[in-house]
Amino acid sequence: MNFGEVTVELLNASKYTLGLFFLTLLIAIPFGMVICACSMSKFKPLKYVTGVFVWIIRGTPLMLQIIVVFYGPGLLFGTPIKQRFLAALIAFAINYAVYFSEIYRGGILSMPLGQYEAGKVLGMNRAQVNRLVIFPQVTKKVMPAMSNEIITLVKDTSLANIIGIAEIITTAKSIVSTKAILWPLFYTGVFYLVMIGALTVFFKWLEKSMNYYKA
Amino acid sequence: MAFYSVKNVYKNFGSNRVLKGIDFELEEGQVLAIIGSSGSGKTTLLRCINFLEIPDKAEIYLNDENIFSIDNIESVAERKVESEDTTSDIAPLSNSEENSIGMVDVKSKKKKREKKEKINTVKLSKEKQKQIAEQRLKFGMVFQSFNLFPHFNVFKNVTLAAYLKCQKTVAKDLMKKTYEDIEKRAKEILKRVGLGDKLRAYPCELSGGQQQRVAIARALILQPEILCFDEPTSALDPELTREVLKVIKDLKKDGHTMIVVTHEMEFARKVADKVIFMANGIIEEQGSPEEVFGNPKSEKTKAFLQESEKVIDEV
Repeated sequence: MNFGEVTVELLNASKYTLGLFFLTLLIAIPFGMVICACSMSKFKPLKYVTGVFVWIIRGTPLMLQIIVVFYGPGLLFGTPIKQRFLAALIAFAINYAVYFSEIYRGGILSMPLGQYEAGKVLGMNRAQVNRLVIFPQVTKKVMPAMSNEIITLVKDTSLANIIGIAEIITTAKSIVSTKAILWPLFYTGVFYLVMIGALTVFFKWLEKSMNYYKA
Repeated sequence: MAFYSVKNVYKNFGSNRVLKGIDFELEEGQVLAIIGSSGSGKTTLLRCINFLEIPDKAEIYLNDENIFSIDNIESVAERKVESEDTTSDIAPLSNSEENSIGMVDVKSKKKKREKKEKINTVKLSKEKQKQIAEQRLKFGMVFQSFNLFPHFNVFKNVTLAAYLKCQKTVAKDLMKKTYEDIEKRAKEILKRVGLGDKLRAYPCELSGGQQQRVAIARALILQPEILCFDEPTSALDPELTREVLKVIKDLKKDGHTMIVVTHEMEFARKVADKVIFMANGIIEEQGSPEEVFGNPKSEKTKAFLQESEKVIDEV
């Protein structure tokens, strides 16, 4: 297999990597907000249940979570998840939503009390303070931590090879084992570097565009 | 009856009695200066006036109307007996708490905080909350640390509250006109505080004095009956202090009623119509600046005034 053929194969595999990446973000960013709201809830039972949930998700390897989502339903209820991609997506979305929720929570906790009070004395209700004062500032505050986490997500998609999704690493491994050449595996690094390079440029731009004010 | 009168204000934080029966009156257009050492309850009193803290007991009248009454002092006391061991002192969210129990390990701090929350938050009825939301707008508030919204420019900082208010009260077809009025008024107010050329600047681009003047403009846009200042110049150097105090003086000329918690004795002496000296949660002395500064009756007042002069002498 020559260089061009391997490149085409890996590019083809990239659509799974990228698909998993974007769909995970699409779900995990808003879902993280829900989890964040639950873990900051004043309703104690909800808060504690969320705390246990966060502990479980952060306390077990993502690879294990993928396996559990993929095989679990079949073993427990006899209704296996047929689509590997869907199983991986569910595991990724939950895992990343939990991590995002903790980043959001950190951002919200870092907001000075004075901002809430200023909103209050100007006659805003709690929802208005959150929407107009708190969330816009939190968005800026969490950007560096979020870009870090999102960059990690690109590389974590390779964990999906554990249930045989044809993403970049899986594809390279199968080339390695069928064609008896080792270099495609190393070559995958270039694909990740390019994707993360693009992301880095994007986040730099995003952070810069939020730089019109300093907190 | 006086334009604004406050009767029997009590406020406890846990077992710490911060305000122990405050009464005072204020006429329209007057400036009231509240002085006193740290921890005497000045700021808490101002925050009660603004309903940032809900007093345990109080009667508040504005323009002959009882705008707020509450008497929870007994239920607060009862709760305290239930949980005798919570000896800590300050409100769950107040700044000084960090200092007061900073040494305690995190776990017991958290426990304490939770317990304290229980005894401090006497649940307000929906009605009371609604009442507070309505009455609060009659009191403008300027904070020691400005608390501008850093992500909005000066103009948006000033107009935001007025926009939100008219969205609630003004009919849709009049909105455009109202918005224009607000913009016009915001520009006038900003000119009045000397910032007519800074409309598009962000707070981070301004000096402390300019930021505080924006904060004053922001409070003025809602046309409060009484404008409250919580140590408005404590975070500023003397030059910036001067420009902020000048604005407050100008506002007095415009006929604004103001309550100023301050450490600027000279300012209190010259600008205020009435001075209150607080110590240990009560009003130790009140009267005209001439009376309080010139001929203090209470020993504590004398000691405090001497102390504050000594500082200047020693430096």
